Amino acid sequence: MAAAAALSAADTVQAQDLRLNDVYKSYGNYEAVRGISIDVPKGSMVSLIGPSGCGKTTTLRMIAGLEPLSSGSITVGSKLLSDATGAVPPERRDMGMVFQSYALWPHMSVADNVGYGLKRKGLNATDIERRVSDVLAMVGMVDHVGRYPSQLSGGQQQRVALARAVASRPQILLFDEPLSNLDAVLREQMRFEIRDLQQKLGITSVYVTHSQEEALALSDKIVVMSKGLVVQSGTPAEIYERPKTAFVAGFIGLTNTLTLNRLLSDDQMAVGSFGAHRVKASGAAMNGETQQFLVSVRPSEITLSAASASPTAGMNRLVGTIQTVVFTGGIVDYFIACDGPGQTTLRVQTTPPARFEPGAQVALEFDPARTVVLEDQVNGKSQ
Amino acid sequence: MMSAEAAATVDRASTGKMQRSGSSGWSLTAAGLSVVCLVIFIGAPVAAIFLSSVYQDGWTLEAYRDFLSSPRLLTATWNSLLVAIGIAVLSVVIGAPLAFGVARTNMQLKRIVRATMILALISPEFLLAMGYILMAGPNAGYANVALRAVFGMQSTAGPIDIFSLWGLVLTALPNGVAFVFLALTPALANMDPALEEAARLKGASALEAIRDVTLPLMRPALLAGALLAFATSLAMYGPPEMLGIDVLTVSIRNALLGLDFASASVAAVVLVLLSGIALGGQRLMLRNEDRYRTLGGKAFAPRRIDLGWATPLLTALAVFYVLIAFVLPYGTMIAVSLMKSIGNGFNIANLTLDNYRVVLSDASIRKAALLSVSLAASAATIVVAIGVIVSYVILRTRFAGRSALDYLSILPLAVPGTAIAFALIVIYLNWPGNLTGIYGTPTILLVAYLARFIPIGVRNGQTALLQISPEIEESSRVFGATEFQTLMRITLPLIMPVVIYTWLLVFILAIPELSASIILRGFSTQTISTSLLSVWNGNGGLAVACAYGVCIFVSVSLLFLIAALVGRRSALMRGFTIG
Repeated sequence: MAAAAALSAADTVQAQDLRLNDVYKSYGNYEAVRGISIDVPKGSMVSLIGPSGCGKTTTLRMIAGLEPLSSGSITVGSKLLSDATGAVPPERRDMGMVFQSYALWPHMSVADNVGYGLKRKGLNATDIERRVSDVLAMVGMVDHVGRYPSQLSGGQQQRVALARAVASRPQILLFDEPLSNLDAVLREQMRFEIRDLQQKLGITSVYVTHSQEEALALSDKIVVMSKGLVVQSGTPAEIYERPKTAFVAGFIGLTNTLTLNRLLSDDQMAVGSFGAHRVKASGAAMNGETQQFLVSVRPSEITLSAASASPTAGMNRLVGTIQTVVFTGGIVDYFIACDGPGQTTLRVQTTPPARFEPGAQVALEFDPARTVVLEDQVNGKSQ
Repeated sequence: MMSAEAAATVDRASTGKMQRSGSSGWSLTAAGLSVVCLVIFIGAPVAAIFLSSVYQDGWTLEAYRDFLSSPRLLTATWNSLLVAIGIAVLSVVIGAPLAFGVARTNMQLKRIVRATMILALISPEFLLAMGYILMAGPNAGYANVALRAVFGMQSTAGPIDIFSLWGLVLTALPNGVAFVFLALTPALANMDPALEEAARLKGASALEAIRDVTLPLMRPALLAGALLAFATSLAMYGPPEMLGIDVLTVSIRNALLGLDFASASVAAVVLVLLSGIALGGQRLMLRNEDRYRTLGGKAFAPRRIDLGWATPLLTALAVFYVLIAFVLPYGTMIAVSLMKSIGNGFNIANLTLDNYRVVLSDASIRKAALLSVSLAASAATIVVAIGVIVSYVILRTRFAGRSALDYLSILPLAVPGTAIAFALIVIYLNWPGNLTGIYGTPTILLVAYLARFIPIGVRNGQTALLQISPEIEESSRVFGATEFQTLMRITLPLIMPVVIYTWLLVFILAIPELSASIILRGFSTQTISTSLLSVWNGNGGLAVACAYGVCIFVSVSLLFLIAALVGRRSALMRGFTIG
């Protein structure tokens, strides 16, 4: 990255890398964020995802300059924004943000809301007016320019908030669970609009959410957080296909976890026993003392056949009894008690029609390449 | 993670723009200003009260020994307690059924009861005392004269004697009832009727459900209202003075008139401790509010209960309250204000508007009114400014010790006006306060008003700020406004209705302020309340005093009406800002 070029072009819309370096944040004894490092390459959209209390919103607020750091640093391009000794105040960071509550100013019209940041930047009235109608046109709200926030629906308020965030062409765009107050249909629609706008403008973006669907659909990169730490980061496909822990596997998508007794393993694969069955899985090396390990296999990766059918070559194979069958439109959900140690119930999803009844003996087959070794320490429980 | 080399390329030159965490120039200024104002206007007077009771030419407990061996002061303490307890108890007895009746039953006169409660709260206490004295004075009181005529009594005095402890209780009762009523009605209106219905389904009758479910749920609000009535009764000065009852507030003034600062200080300490305990208890009740919170965030339409035979009783109680709190005292006052000669009774030949003409044309009254209005306007303006700044520091900054500011700002609620006046005399007669030269000038009255009314400003300021989601302000920061610009363009416009409402409220309360004014006014400075009392005490005659009183009452009520309209707008804003 060329620091000199970035500095000379401070005022233009020049996408910049955003970096968090070993950032800590504690409130008294409570450690909200415990040393995270995140790279947001210029022009890309990175999602922070995790359950509530994982530190994702605190992280976003630190990026915005709304929270001071306990230690570590945040930089944009070559410019230091925050470290333990202080912070560039939010108003001088040149960022745009969409808040969870939208945070539109109720005493200002749509035009005044969107034009506020431009006015602060010192643009003249005609430029402000032109830019405001440009961005309102982008979000399809140009007809509502004179309305007040209280006269708009939730989705419309969201669009205005989005227009306000991009109006001043910020270097960085921040989203704090912007869709969580919308209903499901609108949420899906807005998801695409946000992604579209972000890519069109090429603004470096950070998107906080607790919804895996949003994170998968929107992001170039997903950062999964838990208890103030980054558990895993990668492209949506990486996170989904190669989850490192049971937490990630369960949080991004549905999964089954199996506890296996280790038989043999190397860098690429491991073989373990599950009762009388041998299960082969792909994944990272484990240390020599490991007796048991966990694997994850997604419900949609398992195919069902009658227990009497002959095994498919190269596939892992378990046997079990169907307990429950749930039909939810596009998907049939089977819950299957497996023959093996403990009371392991696996979930299997297939497309309709349902081919087995409760009580039926079935064989479960799944690809070793799709069976992923997890890094968790085994404590004897499966999901 | 960023490597060490990459970190080294970070452009340190641009870090010159960085600020130390959480302390922009503006928030530092605001915090400093808050501390200075609260220490000068509140901390110093409260400290002066306690210090002067243990320091007279050296550290000593002499003053307390004298207090304990003075029958007069002990009687005054006892009287204060008796009256305050009497008012608190009777306020609950009358206020609780009325609150229940208005909030939950099909009784009549609901609007009138509500309006009377509010009038009782805003009308100056000494006006009611005037009305009662005219009505129930033992010799010439109209009620007594009428009762004697009806029952053919031969005596020239009685049967009612308002110049007694019971008379004082009666005089201050309307105010106390209003505190209990206003504490209870929101709690009752917000109660989920399903709680009572559940008891009904388990076999309780309507009245049993009230006894077993409603009353226990209302207990904190009820106690809070009663303790507030208790504390304000302790603090009242006008009625006991006019009725000649020796209570602590009156003792403070008498001690000061005799230049007995030691006695005054101990009386003030006792008064502050008693009301401090009561208000501490009240806050404790409200702190546990969550446990009793029956409102789950949505509005209920409280179900109206038909109490059957008990309904007419409630209506009768309502009529009784409206009579004693408003119709009788103010009716008497209006009637007297229209008389040429008080002795000639109510008849057409005796009617005149001259008393009003005198009030409106009298130069000294006009001067007093002008002083009160300008003092009240200044006090309201400064209180509102301090209120916004202190609330901002408490709720929107991260300074250590900001909760201390919170406690300091509500302290004066427990310090009656007479005690504050005493403290200001101590401070501004002695070094270094005397260097300001404000003793005996209107400025010292302003200082007293500030001490008394800052709690209102800070409390309303906090209520208003709590209604504004911090995101509303943070988004302004993110979009390029400094902290101060955000305050001016976002926060202030949004809380403006509350600011205006608070300004009017303080203005209304400050105009007839009596208990501090009467002690602190200089020889030539009369406020409305003190000049009314001097007219009442013989300078201009009772009829003129009544006309004067009616004028004050009407102005205060009209101003409150305006404030209430502004307040209603702010209630609208509330739904607005959350959305």
